Amino acid sequence: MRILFNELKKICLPQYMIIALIIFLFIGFVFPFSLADHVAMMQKMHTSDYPDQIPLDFKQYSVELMFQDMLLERYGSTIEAGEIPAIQQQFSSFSEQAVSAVEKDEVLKRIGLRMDEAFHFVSIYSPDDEPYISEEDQQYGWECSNGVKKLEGTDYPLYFARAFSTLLNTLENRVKEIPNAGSSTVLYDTMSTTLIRSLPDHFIIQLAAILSVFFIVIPYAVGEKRSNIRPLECSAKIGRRSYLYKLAAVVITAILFIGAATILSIVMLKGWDVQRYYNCIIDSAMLSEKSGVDSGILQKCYSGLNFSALYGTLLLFQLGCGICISTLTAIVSMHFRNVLSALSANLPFFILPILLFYRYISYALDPSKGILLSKWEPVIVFIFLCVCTMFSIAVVYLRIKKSDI
Amino acid sequence: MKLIQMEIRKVLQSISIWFLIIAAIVVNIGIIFANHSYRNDVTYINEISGQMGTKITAQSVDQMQRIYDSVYQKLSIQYEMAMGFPPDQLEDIAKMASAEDTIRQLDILDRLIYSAKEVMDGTAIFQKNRITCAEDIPILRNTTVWQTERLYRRAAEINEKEEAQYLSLKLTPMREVLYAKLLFAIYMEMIIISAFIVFGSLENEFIHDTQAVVYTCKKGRALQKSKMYACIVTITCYFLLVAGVSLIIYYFTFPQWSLMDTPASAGLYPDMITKYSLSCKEYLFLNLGTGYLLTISFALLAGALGLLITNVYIGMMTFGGCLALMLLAGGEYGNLGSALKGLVPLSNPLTLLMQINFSDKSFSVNCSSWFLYKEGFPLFPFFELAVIVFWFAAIILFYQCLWKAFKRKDL
Repeated sequence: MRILFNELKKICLPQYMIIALIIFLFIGFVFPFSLADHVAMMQKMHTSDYPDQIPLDFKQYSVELMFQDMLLERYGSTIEAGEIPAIQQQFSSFSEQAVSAVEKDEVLKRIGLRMDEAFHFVSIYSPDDEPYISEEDQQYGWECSNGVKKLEGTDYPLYFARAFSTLLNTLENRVKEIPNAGSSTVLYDTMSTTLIRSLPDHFIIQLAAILSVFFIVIPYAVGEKRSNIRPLECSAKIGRRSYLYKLAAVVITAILFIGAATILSIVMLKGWDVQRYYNCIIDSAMLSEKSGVDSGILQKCYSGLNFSALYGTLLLFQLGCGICISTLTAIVSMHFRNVLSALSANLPFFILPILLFYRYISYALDPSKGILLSKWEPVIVFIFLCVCTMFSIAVVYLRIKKSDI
Repeated sequence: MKLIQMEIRKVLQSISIWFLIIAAIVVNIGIIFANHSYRNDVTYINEISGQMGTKITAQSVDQMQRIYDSVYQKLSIQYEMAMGFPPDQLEDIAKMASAEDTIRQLDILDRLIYSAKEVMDGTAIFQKNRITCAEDIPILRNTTVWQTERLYRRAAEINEKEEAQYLSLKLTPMREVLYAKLLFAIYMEMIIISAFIVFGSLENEFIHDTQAVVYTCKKGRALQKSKMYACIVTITCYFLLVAGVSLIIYYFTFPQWSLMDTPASAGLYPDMITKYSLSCKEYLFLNLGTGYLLTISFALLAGALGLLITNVYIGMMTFGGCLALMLLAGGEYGNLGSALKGLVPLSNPLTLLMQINFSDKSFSVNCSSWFLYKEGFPLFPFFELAVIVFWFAAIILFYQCLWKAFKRKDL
C-alpha cells in the first residue's frame, strides 16, 4: 500500500498536474464548448423562461423542447393510439386560435397579405416567397415561424402548428405500419431532438479529461524507465511486484481524473434541468430525421434506452475506455527513455478516444448519421479494449517475472 | 561543421521522427483519397485543355460547344432507341446508368462553356469595390488609399493581360482540397514534427547523461547552436520529403499538368484575384515557401524555449501553450472581437494559417487565402510576407537574448 501511495505521489507532480489541467480546460471548455455557450445552453433548456429570458439564437431550439414538454405534461412519456383523437382535437383548436390571431395581427394587416398568404408567412416563413416585404417585416415572419415570437391571443408559438402536423403525420404512419394497433399500442416516445443533439458537446469534458491524463501518465512512465530500476525488478519479489503497483497507480489516476470530469458532466446535466426526460425512451428523437438513411440502421443506435440509461451508459463507456487507453499508454511509455519518442509512439492512443467519441457519441446521437453496425458495437469495442489491456499487462508482467539481469 | 553533420545524422536516425513522418504522409494520402471522386472531372478538364489549349477564345468555346453537341446527339439517339421517345434535357439521359461517365463529362463541358462565355462576355466581373480593407492592422490604416489604388491597378492588369480567360479547375473543389486541406495539413504536421525534432535533439544529451558537457564548457554550449542548425537542415529535408511525396501523389491522382502554367487568377475569378501576376505553379511554390518559412519560425521558437527550459517535456508543453495563446489571440469572439481588434492583430504566424471563430464554434483555414485579394482579408499587398519577416526577426531576437542567458546558465 505504501508503494502504491509513493507511486501516486510520483505521478501527481504539480508541474505535470498543471499542464494536464491547462490542457483539460483548453480542450474541454475553450475550444469546442465555451463556458458562455454552456450558460446559454442551460437557458435554452429552461423552457419555462420562454420567451423573455431565452437568447434569440436559441429560441427556435427551446421551442422544440417546449413542444415536447407540452406533450409530456399532457400525454405522458408515450403516446398511444387511443390518444390520437385528443391530439387532433388540440391541433384543430390551436389552428382556430392561430387563424383568428393572424386575422387580428397588426403587422400582417399592414403588410396587406391575403389570409392564406399571411398564415403561410408566419408559419412557414421563406424569404423568397415575399421578396417585396421590408426587412423588418421579413424578420417578423422569421421570428413567428421559428417560435421566437408568439402571436397575441394564442396559447403557443405558431411553430407548434408545424410540430403538431408532423406529429400527427408520424402517428398516422405508425398506425399504418402496425395493422393490429389497439388503443393502448405505443406509437411515439416523447423525447426532444434538441436535447439528444446537445448531448455530444457535453461528453467533450470527459474526452478532454482522457486526453489530459496522457500528459500525466507519459512523463511518469518515461521517468520510471529512466530511473534504472530494472535490476530491482529482476532480482527481488517486491521489485517484480512494483510494476503492478505502477500500473495500479496509473489506473487510480485515470479513475480520479476522468471520474472528476464525469462528476462535472453530471453536475452540468443537472444545470440543464431536464429531469422530466430521465425516464423517457429516446427512440422517437433518434428517428425524427431519417432523410436518406435506412431507419433499420438508426433503430440500432441505442434503441430502447431511456435518457438516463443512455447518459449513464455513455459516461461509463468513456470512463472505461479512458482507463483502458491510459493503462495501455503507460505500458507503451514504460519502454521509452525519451519522453518525445513516447509521445510519438502513443499517437494512436491519442487518436483512439477521439475516434470513439465521434463514432459512438457524436455520430451515433445524430439522427441523420446512424452508423453503428449493431447496438452492441460499443459494448464489443469496450470488451475488446479491456481484453487488450489485460493481455498487455499479463504479457509484460510475465516477461518481468521470468527475466534476469 | 563536423558537429552539425553528426547532429544531422542523429536526427535522421531517430525512429520516432520517422514514425511521425510516415504518419503525416499517411494522413495526407488519406486527405487526397477522401476526395478521389473528383478524379474523373479533373482528368477530363485536363484532357480538354490539352486538346484545345488553355486560353479561352471564341474558337475554343465554339470547339467545346461542337464537342458537346455531337456527344449529346449520340446520347439522345441511344436514349430514343432505348425509351422510344427523345429526351427533353440532359437529366433525362442521366437516368441511363450505362452512360454515367459521359453524362458527367457533358455536364462539366456544359459548365465550362457557360463560365467561359461569362468571362468572354464580361458578365463575370471582379467586384473590386466589395473587397474592403481589413481593419485589424492599425498601423496600415493610413495607407488605405494606396492599398486600394494597388488593388484597382491589379484588377486592371488582370483585364489587360486577360488572366481570367484561361481554363481552370474552378468548377471542381480542387483548390480547396489542395490549399485548405492538403497544404494546411502539411504545414500543421511540419510545425509539430519540427518541435519534436528540436526538443528531441536537445533531450539527447540528457538521455545519454552528457548534459554536464553542455553546461560546463564553451564547446558544449556551442553544441546547442550546432543542434539548432542541424535541426533546420533536417526540418528542411523532412519538409521537402513530406510536401514532395504528398504533392506527387496529389498530382498523379488529379492530373492537371496542362493547367499548371495558366494564371492562378483564372481559377479564382470573379470572386477573388491574386495580389501579383502568378501562374498556378508559381502560386503553389510561393505558398509552399511561405509555409516553409512559417515552419522554420516555429522551429526557432521551439529552439528558444529549449534554451530557456531544461525539462524538455515542459518545454514542449510550453511550446503547445504558445500555439494555444496565438490561436486565442487571433480568434474571433463575436462582439468582443471589436474590442480586441487593434490590440491583438490577426498577424501572428499561427493565425496566418488558421483562425477560430469562438462565437459560432467554427474554424477557418487561412493558408488558402494567402496572396489573394479576397473579401475580409488584409488588403496590404505584402501582408503575409510582412508578418513572417516580422515574426522571424522577433523570434531570432528572442533566441539571441535567450542564448546570452543560456551562456551563463548552470545545471
